[in-house]
Order: sequence, then structure tokens, then C-alpha cells
Amino acid sequence: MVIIVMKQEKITIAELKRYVSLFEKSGVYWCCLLLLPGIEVLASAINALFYRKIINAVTISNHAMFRGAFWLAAAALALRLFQRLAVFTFMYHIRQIMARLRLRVMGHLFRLPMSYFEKHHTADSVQKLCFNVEDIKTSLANRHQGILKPVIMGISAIVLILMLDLRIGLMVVALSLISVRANMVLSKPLRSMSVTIQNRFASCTESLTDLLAGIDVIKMFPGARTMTEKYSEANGGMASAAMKKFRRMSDIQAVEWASGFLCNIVILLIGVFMSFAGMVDFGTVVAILSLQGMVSFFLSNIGRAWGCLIDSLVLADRVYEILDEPVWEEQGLCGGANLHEERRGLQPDRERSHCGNANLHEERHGLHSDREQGLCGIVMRDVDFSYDGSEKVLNGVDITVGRGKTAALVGESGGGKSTIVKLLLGFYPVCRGMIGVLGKPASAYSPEELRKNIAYVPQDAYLFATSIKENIRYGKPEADDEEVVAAAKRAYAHEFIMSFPDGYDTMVGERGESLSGGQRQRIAIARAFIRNAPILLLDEATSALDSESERLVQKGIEDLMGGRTTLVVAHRLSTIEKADMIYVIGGGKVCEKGTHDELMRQKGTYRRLVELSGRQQNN
Amino acid sequence: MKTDREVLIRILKYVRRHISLILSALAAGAMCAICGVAGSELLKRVVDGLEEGTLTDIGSIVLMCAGILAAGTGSAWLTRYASGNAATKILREVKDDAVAHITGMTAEFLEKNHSGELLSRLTDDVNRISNFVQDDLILVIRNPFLLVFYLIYLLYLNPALCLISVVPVVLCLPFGAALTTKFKAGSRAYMQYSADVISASADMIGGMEVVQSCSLQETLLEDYRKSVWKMTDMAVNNDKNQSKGYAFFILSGTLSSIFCLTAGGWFCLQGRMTIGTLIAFFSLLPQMVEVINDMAGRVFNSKVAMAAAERVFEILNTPAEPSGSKTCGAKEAPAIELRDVSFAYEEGVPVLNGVSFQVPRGKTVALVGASGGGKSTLLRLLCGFYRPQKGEIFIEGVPIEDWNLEKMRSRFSYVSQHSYLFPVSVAENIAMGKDGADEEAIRLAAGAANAAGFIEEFPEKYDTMAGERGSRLSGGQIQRIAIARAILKDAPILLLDEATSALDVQAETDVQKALDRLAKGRTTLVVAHRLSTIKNADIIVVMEDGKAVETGTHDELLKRGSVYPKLYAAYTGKAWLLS
Repeated sequence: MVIIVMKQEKITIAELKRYVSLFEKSGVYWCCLLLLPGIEVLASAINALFYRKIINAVTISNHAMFRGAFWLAAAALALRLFQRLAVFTFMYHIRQIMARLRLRVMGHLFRLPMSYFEKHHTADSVQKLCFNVEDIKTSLANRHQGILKPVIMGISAIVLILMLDLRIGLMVVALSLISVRANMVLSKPLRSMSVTIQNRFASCTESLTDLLAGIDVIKMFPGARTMTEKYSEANGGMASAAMKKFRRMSDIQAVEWASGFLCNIVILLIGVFMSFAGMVDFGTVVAILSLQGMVSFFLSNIGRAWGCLIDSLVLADRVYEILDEPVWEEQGLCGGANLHEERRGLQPDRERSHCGNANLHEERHGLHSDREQGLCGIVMRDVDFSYDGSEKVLNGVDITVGRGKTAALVGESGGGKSTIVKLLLGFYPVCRGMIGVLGKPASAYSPEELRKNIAYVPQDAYLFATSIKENIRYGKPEADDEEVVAAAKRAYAHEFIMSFPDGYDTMVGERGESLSGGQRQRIAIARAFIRNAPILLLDEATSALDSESERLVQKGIEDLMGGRTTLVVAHRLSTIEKADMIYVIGGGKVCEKGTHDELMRQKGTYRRLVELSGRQQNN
Repeated sequence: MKTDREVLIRILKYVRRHISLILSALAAGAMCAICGVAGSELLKRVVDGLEEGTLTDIGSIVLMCAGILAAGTGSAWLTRYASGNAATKILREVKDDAVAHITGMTAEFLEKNHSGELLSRLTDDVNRISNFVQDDLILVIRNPFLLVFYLIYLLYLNPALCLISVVPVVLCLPFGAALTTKFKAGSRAYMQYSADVISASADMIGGMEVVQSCSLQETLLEDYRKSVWKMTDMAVNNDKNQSKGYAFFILSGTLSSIFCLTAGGWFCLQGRMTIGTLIAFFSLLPQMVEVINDMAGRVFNSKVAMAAAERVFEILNTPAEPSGSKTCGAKEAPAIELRDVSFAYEEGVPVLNGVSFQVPRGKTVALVGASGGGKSTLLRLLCGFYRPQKGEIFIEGVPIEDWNLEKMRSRFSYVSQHSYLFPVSVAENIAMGKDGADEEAIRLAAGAANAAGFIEEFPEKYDTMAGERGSRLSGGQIQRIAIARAILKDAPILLLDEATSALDVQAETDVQKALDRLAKGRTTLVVAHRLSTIKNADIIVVMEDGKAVETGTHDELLKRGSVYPKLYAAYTGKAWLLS
């Protein structure tokens, strides 16, 4: 996972606060984070004192001092074990925080309006939900420690060393400085090398994805093997970048070994000469050397602390990109432009005026308002809509579907038919005009209440990668098995489901791909049956299924329509002919309306459409 | 693949190819360890020399120091360089092999595995391995050497002290090691489960329209909550094993250093050991403890890498498509013959149930029948993507299992309902039809497929990128490019799965013309949806319930058929589209 590193920039307190608030109930975690380096320092210091005591006891042959060292040893050991326990507690809290974070992000995703998912690619949300959140674990477990640990450990180690002996202490610190400096110079290009590797890795993944998607083509066309070669090329590119990095890492390794040798042997040798000259006791030399590692750690990691902080913040920003998206309740009309108006719109008196508005229109259309309130399943009055606030997709659409009646929407694709369906589902708020559902304005319902009244069968029904039973049950989560079977029977799906050895427990595969198109549609119809909502929105599939499947799907749909208020985006003549009212939609407007016979007599758009497709079929 | 041993054997196969690099890494690792020991020996001599007052030649000590420093630094460099290079090369080969293997995998395997699963194995898991290679491998190679040489040297210095120092290691390490096995199994389960959770959440986000229109948020969030907490429990359990394991490693490291210094000090006080020896001992001991402690971490990391390697190697272990040895067919035999062919994707759900028919050379045969009747499956059987469970298929007189798969597929041009274009240029997509096709050939093929016109209109012409899943092109354009590819392949038999989705009238005509040109002079087997295709076929095979129930020309079947007239009525009557 590539992390974009921003150059030095100011980090405000507010930003840090916001960052910390990403992690709920994280008090114990922060305590552990501060405590861990402290324990480490303490354990190392006690260890160093133990070394000094033993060596000095031996050089001056003092038995009592030798025995005294035992307690230091015991304390060091106990602390080391306690440190392990603390690390576990630390990890435990990280896991809990991560789980809460995942749930928070997913919970938020579920509350986002449909428009978000139409604007953002699925992979983008998955990337954020799964991989960026996962990477935040690295922040919690490593990056935060990378900020604090070197500082706490390094400073206390330097202080301890200088306290033990100034001369040798300075020598050790100087040597560490030199080796760390050399190390830093050598590692400078490593970052860009890693970025190169990551980029090449990404191109490997990309070509692999393509390869997997087109595997049949590769099998059938010998020339398509160029795709495998492309992968191999990308792979080779990645390998050569990795080797470059290894070359550099080998240099670093050599420097590390040399400085380790200088510290362990050469400084020890100098210490030996000094102690024989009576300048220092030998135990102190040994104790200082045992602490040297912490100084090096400090010097080589302190430079990364800032980067760790920035990386953590950048990563959190990615997750906040989801969390900051306004959820349904905060969404306004037309992409937030009329946020306040919408909020006010929820107040009762405003609502009444909405209704008043509707009545006004009804009067203009010469309908008695009471009658329409009672009889209308779906009403759209003078509805304008635009996805981006400028280009109007719908422009003054008027549609009325009486209770239990069927209306068909026909017209060229891109004319706004699907948008009408989406508006009715409440996926988007309208810009102007009003929508009424079952005698109440749509804005008087919460999205859940509104959708409770609607069964929606999309053109290409999405099936989840679970069992058939679960897929049907998604129409009504609380339904029992009997209801599922009953719905499947009414959708003419029971028979084919039972022909599978696992029956209703058959897994449908990724996006339901193990089923045929007609089978998928019938499951979607069963889902609508089990929902048993008074309003049916149907986006007819454009693909012509073969006759048997077609017949069953058609029968299922017809049964489903029975007694329900239906609005259908229609492609099939048989469906259209049976509709009580046909609306021809074009350019965001209702161009013609009437029954099939009326419209055929008009010799307008509708008739042209019918004749065109008739000719196509006979070709 | 269940055991580490099998993974190791696999790895060894690759290791053999880079044996010189690996041997030099090992030799350099050994050299590194020897230098460390030599430094300590030098230290011992200096201390003892000073103690006894026999040390005189300081110049030679400085020289020796410099020598050891140079040798050690050089070998440290080489260890990392050689091991890194070897590992990178091996990793590259493993990936290449895995991908090459995937293209030869059976369609069954590919369909059973979520495409994300393969991808995750080849990216995330491979990444895990390369992280291990970058950071840990060198130590896994070097540390055993260090341990062995240090131990030998320590034994030489003072066997009793050495034994005392090693006791805690011997006592504690087995417990730690035992926990690593648990940890590995846990890591693997965790990886698998989190991959499942990722697939499931991708599924939910992908199906958000259904989720929202059915108000499923609460239900699904509850499911997600359950799986997240299950994931967390698994992780915590893993951490627990890791912590326990670590504790044993720490215990062994810390105890051995304490034992060593206390016992060593005691020996010195008793006068049974020189101070020089104790110092030498001590100068090596922290390194040894570090090595041991470090090994703990490395062992855990290597277990993660092993689990990842298992998952990668599992790809290599799946059986490849079976292929025979025949490379050409008999001249007189019919192009395609099916005898009593039965096939089921899943046991007990037959898709084809004893299909028999012939496709004579040079003729066009149309397959008609209800959807889900196995017509598309039949074409895929002919391509060798699946093998029939019963019955025989002959391609140009040779049974399908005797054919060399590659040669057999070179006999077919297969145009499926949803043609796939790779996200490379249009020219490259067409060129895939034939190895080494030149520009001229590509242009001709595009022309024949009615595609040259619209391609020339693009600003970048033939270099236009086809985009992911061909998204920048319209449906009709994608189909025509796929047809150009098939034209370039110029195979004698055409397998055509007519698209059912409606294109606009102009696109439809363009595609149809291209298809007619492609079919010309070839043996054609077409899954037909268009009345014109069906009427023009030489032979119509009507399929029902996985069987070929009626065969004949359009007129014959209309006269004496029983299923066909009904189908025909359905085609002409009801199923027409407004678009």
C-alpha cells in the first residue's frame, strides 16, 4: 500500500484532535503507548546496572557485591516479562479499536445516499473500507510508536550513558552519530526506490487483473499470450527495482556490521586499556555498551517520526473521506444546495404547504384533490431534476398512476426513465415539484418508510454471493422459510431451485453468476413478492431471454403486478399493450401519453418507436 | 499442500536454479560469524595479556582489528546482496510460473474461485513473502551460523559455562516453537477469513441499490458486525499465542545471559577462569541473546510468509487442463461430431443430457432452444474449457481428449456473447488473433469486421485504448473488434454465441454484416437468437432438456417438427423489443 508522503507542512491541534477522535474508546491504548517505551528503558537500565555490578565484583573479587547483583537480575527478568504482557494488552486494544472503526465506516457507508455509490466506484469504497482501514492498524501498532519510542528511549539512554561515564559515554554517542549519519545518507534513495517498487507492483496487479478477466480469450487466441508476457515484463521490472534496493540495503548492512564491531570490540578494547590505566572501572564500560543500542535506535528513527505522523494523518484522511460524506439525514435538495430549505421542509407547516402545492397543481389539471389523494398510488407533479445542479435531466414531469393501475414508461435510452424510478425510490431528492406516494408527499416519509411501500425490480438484478434462500429473504429479512418458498413459487422459481441438489441453500456465486439470466430475474421477482409492497417499480430487462425462461419471467411479472400500483420502464410490447397508461419520455419530459391504441393513432414518437423495433425484429 | 516440508521442497526446486548465489550467501554468512568470534578471541587475548603483563605488540593488535573489520564488513555486504538477489529472482519466477499456470487452469477451477481470491494470493500473499524476503530472510540465513559458531567458540572457551548458558534456551525454546505452529495455523485462518469478509463487504457495496431499496442496512450491518468481531477474536487469539511464544523466547534469552554472567563471575571469583575469557564471553553473549530473541520474531514472520507461500503454491498445485498429443484432424471427417454427450456443472444438475449431432464441413448449423438449455455450455465444451462426463466429442474426427489443446483451439474462432477486450490498444486487441500480425493485417481484419470506419474516427485511431472491460467503446464496437480478432485468427471452424442484448438498429446491422463476412467459407456452429440467422442456417438443431430433439432445415422442421414450430411462433410473435 503506497502512502503519499506530504512534504513538511503544518499540523494543527485541531487536526490532531480530529485524528484522535477517529479511535473511539481508546484511553487504555494511549496509556499503553506511553507506558511501553518507559518499561523498555527501565528494563534496559536495570540490565546495564546488573552487568556493571557483576563485572566489577569479579575484577575486584568482592563476593558480597556479586550476590547483590542477583536482585538486579531478577528485577530485569520480571520487567521483561511484564513488558510482554503490556504489549499484549496494547495489541488487544488495537484490535478492539480496529473492530469499532470498521463498524463505524461500514455503518456510515450504509447510511450514505445512493448518489454516493453512483458517483464512486465500488472498488474505491472497498479500498477505503478494507485496505486503508487495515493500514490504520499499522499506524496504531507501529507508526505511533515510531513517533514516541525513539524520543523517550533515546533521550533516557543518552542521559544514563553520560551519567555512567562521560568520556566513554561521549565516545559511544559519537560513534553512534557517525554510523547513523552514514546510514541515513545511504538510505536516502531507499524511499524513492520503494515507491518505484510499489508502482511496479501496482502495474503487476493491474495486468494480472486484466489477465484473469480475459482468461478465455487467452486460451482461444494464441496472440493473447502477449498479455502473459506483459505481466512477466512488469514482474521483471519489479524484480530489477527490488534488486537495486537490495544493492543499497547491502551497503547499509555492511555499515551496520562495521559499527557494531567498532562498538563491541574496539570500544571495549579501549575500555580495557583505560581500566588497566585506572581511569574507569571495567563494569561501567560494559554497562555503557549494553545501552548503546538504544542510542542508535533513537538516532536512526527520530528522523522518521515526522513521516510516521504525516503518514498516519494522511491515512486517516482517506477514511474520513467516507466518514465526512453527509448521510441521508443531512442530504439536501439537489446535492446540498437547498439544505436549509429541505430541513425546514421537514417541519409540519412546511409540509402542509407542500401538500397545498400539490393541490394547486391538481386543480390546474382539473382533478378533484380529495379524490386524487385517496386514489393515487404515484403522483409526480412538475418535477425537475438534475444530477449536478446545472444540466436538467427531468424538466417538468407529470405522471399519475392510480392505485392498482399500471403505467408504462417508454422512450429512447437516456431520456430520463430510470431517473424517474430512482426519484421514486428516494435515491435522490427532487429539485422542484413534488412526488406523492400513496396519498402522501414523499418527503413526509423517511427513506425506510418510503421504500417499505415499494418493491423494486431492477433491470439487472444484483444477487449477493450467498444462498438462494438468503437472496430472496433480502426482500424481507424477517421472513421465515415458508414465506421464502411461497414467494419463489409465485415467481415460478421454485421448480428450478428444487432441481439443484442443495435446493434453496444453493450458493449463487459471485453476483449470482452460476445462475442463468432468467433464473436471476425470477429470484429478483421472488424478492419483490416476499416484500409484498403496494407499489411496484419495474425496470424491464432489455435482453431477450429464450422463450421458456421468458415466458416464466413474464408470467411472474404479470402475477406480481396484480393488484399493485405499477410503474414499469418497458421494453416489451406485450407489457406496454397491457398498461393502463403509457408515458413516452424524451428529453426529460413527457412527450406523449395515452393507451397503446390512442398513441398508435397519434402517429407520433410512440408509433415511430414501435415501427422501428418491428422492422429490426424481422431482419 | 499441508506441511512446511512440501513448501520447502517446492522452494528448493527454485533454489537449485540460483544455487551459486545462495551458496555465496551462506558462505558469506559463515564468514561474518567467524569474524565476530575472531573479534572476541582478540579481546580475550588482550585482557589476559594485560592482566599477566605479557602484552607488548599493540601494532599487531591494531592490524588484526583492521583485518577483521574489513573481512566482516565485506561478508556482511555479500550475505545481504546475494540472499536478496536470489530471493528476488526466485519470487519473480514463482510469480511468472503461477501466472503461466493460471492461463492453463481448468475453467472449473477458475469459476469455483472468486477472482478476488486468486488476485489476493498473487498480490497480497506474494507481497507478504517479499516483505519477509526483504527484511527477515537474511537473518534467517545468517543467524543459525552465528549461533553455531558462537556456540563452538564458547564451548572452547569454557564448556561448563557454555552449557549453563544454553540450558534456558534448550528448556524454553521448544515451548516457544510449539506455539509458532499454532500461530501459523491461526494466521492462515485469519487471512482466509478476512479475505472472505472483504469479498462480502465488496458484495454489499456493489449491491447497494438492492441494500437501499430493500432497507437491508440494519440486517447486513448486523452480519458485518458479527464477522468483524469474529475476525477480532481470531486476531486476539493469535496475538495471545504470539505473546506466549515471545515470552518463552524472552525468558530463554534473558535467563541465559543472567546465568552466564553469574556463573562466569563465580568461576572467575573461584579463580577457575580468566577475566579475559569472561569478557570475551560477555562480548559475544548479547549478540547471541539478540540472535535468539530475534529468531523469535523471525520465526513468527517466517510462519506468516510460509502460510502465504502455501497459498501461492496451491495455485501451482491445481491440475492444469489435460491435453493430448494429436496435432491435426482427419480430412474427411465432419468438423464437429457429438455422440451422446452429457455434462453437468454440478453433480445431479445435468445441463446436457445425451446430445448427439454433427456439423458437416463448410455448413452452418444453428442451435436453438430455451435459455438455460445448455447451448452456450456446449460451445464451451467444444473449446475444451470443460470435459463431458459422458459421451464423446470429435473435432475433425479426433476425440477431444486426444487433441493437443492448443492445436485444437487453433481450429476454432470463438465469438462469445460478451466479448472481452483487454485494456490495451485496439490494434493490440485485434493482433491477438494471430502471432506476429503486422499493421496491414490488422487493418484488413478491422475492415472486414466493419470496424475500420469507427476506429479511424478515433483521434488516436488504432492506438485508442480499449479501457477496462472495453468501457470506452460501445457494445457494438466491442463486438466488432472481437470479430476482427476472430477474422485475423482465420480458423476453419467458427463457434458463435449470438448476443441476446439489444443494440441499436444501426449497430445491430453493422455487427450482423461483420458476422456474415466472418462466417463465409467456414464451418459455423451458432447459438442463434435472430430469426434471420436461424432461417439461413443449413441445419437447425433444436435443443430441449439438454438433448438435441429435432434436426433439419427451417422448412422441414416447420412441416414435421413439434418443438420448433412453437419456438418459431414465440420468436415471431411476442418477444420483440422496444429500445
